Amino acid sequence: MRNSNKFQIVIPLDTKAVFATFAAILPVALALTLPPRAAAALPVAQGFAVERWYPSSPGAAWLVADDINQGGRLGGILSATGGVAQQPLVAGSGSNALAAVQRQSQVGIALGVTYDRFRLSLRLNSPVQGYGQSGTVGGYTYIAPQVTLGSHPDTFSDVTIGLDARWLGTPGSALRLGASAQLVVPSGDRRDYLTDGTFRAFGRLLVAGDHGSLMYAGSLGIHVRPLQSAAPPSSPKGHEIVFAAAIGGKAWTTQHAQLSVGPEVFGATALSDLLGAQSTAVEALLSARWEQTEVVGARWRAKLGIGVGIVHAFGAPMWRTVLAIESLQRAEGPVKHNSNVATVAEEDGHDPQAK
Amino acid sequence: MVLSAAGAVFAAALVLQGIVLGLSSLAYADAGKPAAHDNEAFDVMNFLTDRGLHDIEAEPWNAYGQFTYISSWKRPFAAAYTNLGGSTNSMSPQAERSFTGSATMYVGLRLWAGAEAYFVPEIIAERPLSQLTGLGGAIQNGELQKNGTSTPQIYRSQTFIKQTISLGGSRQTKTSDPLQLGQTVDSHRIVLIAGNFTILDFFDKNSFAGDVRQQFLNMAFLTHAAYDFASDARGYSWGGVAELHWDDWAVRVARMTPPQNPNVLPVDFRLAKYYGDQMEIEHRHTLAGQPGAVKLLGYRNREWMGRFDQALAAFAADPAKNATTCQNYNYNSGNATAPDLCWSRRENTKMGIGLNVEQALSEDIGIFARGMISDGQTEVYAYTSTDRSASIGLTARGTPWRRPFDIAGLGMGVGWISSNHAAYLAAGGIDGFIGDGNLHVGAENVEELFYSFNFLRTIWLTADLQRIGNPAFNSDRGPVTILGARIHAEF
Repeated sequence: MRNSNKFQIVIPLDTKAVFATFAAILPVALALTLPPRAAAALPVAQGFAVERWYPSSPGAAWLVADDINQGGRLGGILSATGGVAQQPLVAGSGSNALAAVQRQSQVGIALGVTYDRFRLSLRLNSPVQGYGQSGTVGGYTYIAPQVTLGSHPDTFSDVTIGLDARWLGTPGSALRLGASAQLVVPSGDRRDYLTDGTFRAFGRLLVAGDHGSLMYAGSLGIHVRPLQSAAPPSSPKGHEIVFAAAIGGKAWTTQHAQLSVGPEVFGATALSDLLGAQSTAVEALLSARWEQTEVVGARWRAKLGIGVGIVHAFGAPMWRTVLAIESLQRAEGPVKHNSNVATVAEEDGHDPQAK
Repeated sequence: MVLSAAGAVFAAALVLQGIVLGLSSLAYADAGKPAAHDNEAFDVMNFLTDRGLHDIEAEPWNAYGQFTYISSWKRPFAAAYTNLGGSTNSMSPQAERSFTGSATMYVGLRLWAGAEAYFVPEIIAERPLSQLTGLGGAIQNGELQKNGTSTPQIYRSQTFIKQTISLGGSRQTKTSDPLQLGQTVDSHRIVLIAGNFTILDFFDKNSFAGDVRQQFLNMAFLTHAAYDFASDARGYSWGGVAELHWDDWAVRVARMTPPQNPNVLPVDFRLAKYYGDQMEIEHRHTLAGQPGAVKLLGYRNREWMGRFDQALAAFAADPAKNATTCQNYNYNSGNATAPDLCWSRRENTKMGIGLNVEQALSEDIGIFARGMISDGQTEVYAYTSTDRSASIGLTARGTPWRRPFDIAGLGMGVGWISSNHAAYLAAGGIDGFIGDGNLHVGAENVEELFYSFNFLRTIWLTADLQRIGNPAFNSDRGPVTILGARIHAEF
């Protein structure tokens, strides 16, 4: 065979990482082959997981997008996230509008373990508040949730298990590509609008990068959602495409910490009604994060987001506030790669000279 | 609706700790003298420490896990009557099998100087004997929860913050353990705890009787059977604890949320109106060179609960106020000729005082004794139907027969009920757990013998035998023999 490098682009792919990524995505792809399960037609609209803000994995810099910046030796992350969404579910419109879920608040604890370019995570969300208006819209009776910490003192709503991998680029590089897969295990009561009552899964392709003070991240993926409640207004309509994009910059930097600010836009649309008004939700979130920049040992990160719904299908609220606090631990020392040994600073994406 | 396949979550939780960090085991169980963390054990935190990835003596974080499966087989027993007159809380005299399976992950994190945060997700599946009715304080498996199902349920058992304020004195070592970061602390200190936990995380602790996963299975040995501590249906609650430690002395007080109704999961956060208060004074000592401790515990609950005498009076005054007619929260008795606590619920107070003693006799043998008297005027609100209780026993390690990680135990517990409580049950009434429709009152008693065989340093396999006399304080029924088996792993 003739050997020519004339138009060849050399990409430093790590074979094991690619294999692991496809292994993670395979269950999602197989699950996609399953037909959506039709919900029984009932006069009472059944509850479902109304939340469409799917937080990024613990350790990810953004609130929604993933910067796939993990690296170094063994690391651990403990994250606490709290969020309030106002009117995440409004059935009907105009004078017939019914805020079936007027307000929903949750607190989540997430645990993560990182090694080199891989991240394994577990997210456990607990409902704190949920209430709304009961009524009839479109021939269906909506029964508002009644959730308080007292009524649900120890409840976990849907539990998420995730695996993320970066397979192109290094931490802090201008272009990073990766993939993620999450399995959502049902927990909680559908009547509380916290769960679909079925397993769900996400598979996403991730892109991110840093260039000087500029940073960006985005994702595009599929949400395997077996629940299809086509008839009741503002209800899930099966599998969805999910997307997110974020861009921002370092607004303030010191020797040991930095503050970054930028908008994030994210949403979902049902495959069965692509970009349909009843099946598409889009939100914008202005997020800011303060983080310590030490590359090893313990460091903290705090993230705040304030946002609004842009396209108001269920899940996109009138407004939303989100706060996350993360503790990140990493053992000292770099990871030895196949072809090179990265420095600690390179691994973490923080160039001490760059300000 | 509950988790339909929560085993996946359990697997993930274990994977988070295990796949990267390796398999492991914890320290000794608390048999014989209380053991420090076994630094030679092959557990998660030691694994990391050995590789220079963790400082186990000054921990910024830690993570542990456990798995426990308990199976109980109840043999048929003699009973003069069962659920007489439509009462519903008799234990079935037929043979039955019960089980519990639980898995827990413990995560601790240092927040700032003196501050620690703990988060404990847990998953449990269970099937009780006779829908958890028919026994007072001698319930054969302390892992059982009142709202449990055979379908696994995942829930948050503990989430709390602990702040230690140092006041000087000597330095004391706290070993790395579940719900405890490895560190050194002052012997004079104030500790403030707030959040979601069980009161038994901090009160009435006993090195030889108090851990269902490692020691006695029966609930009579978990704490005082008459300690009706405020908690939800799983045994956890929300509230705050304040402790003062001063060398060998400690004083602790706590206020906790009670359930909204007796023995249910939802809790009432109106802590100024309804609450469970407790105070404990502890003294640790050395006797003949061996450590021991004495704890005096008092509690006072203010809750919306029924009094036995008032339920009887309401029924005597108007037989229409019986166990089948009350529309408020009740236990669904079908006995129309019986009184019911439902007719007497209002703001009431329950109080009790108890003593807890532990003493190591050697490096490998320890004894314990507990006793508590509660007023016995009001219904069980959270723990067991017992009004007065006592228990004694010993646990031992298998060091003499060259199995130092094996544990054996022998214990006896006795429970009594008040005269008003007995009169209410004799009239056919039921409470949250007991009520046969009639009663020939007797002290409910349990004797338990167990042996835990350790293998691979991280797994214990236990054989257990229990004999329960006068179940539900009724000498017309029983005794009941229950065989048990337990497998327990720590990592």
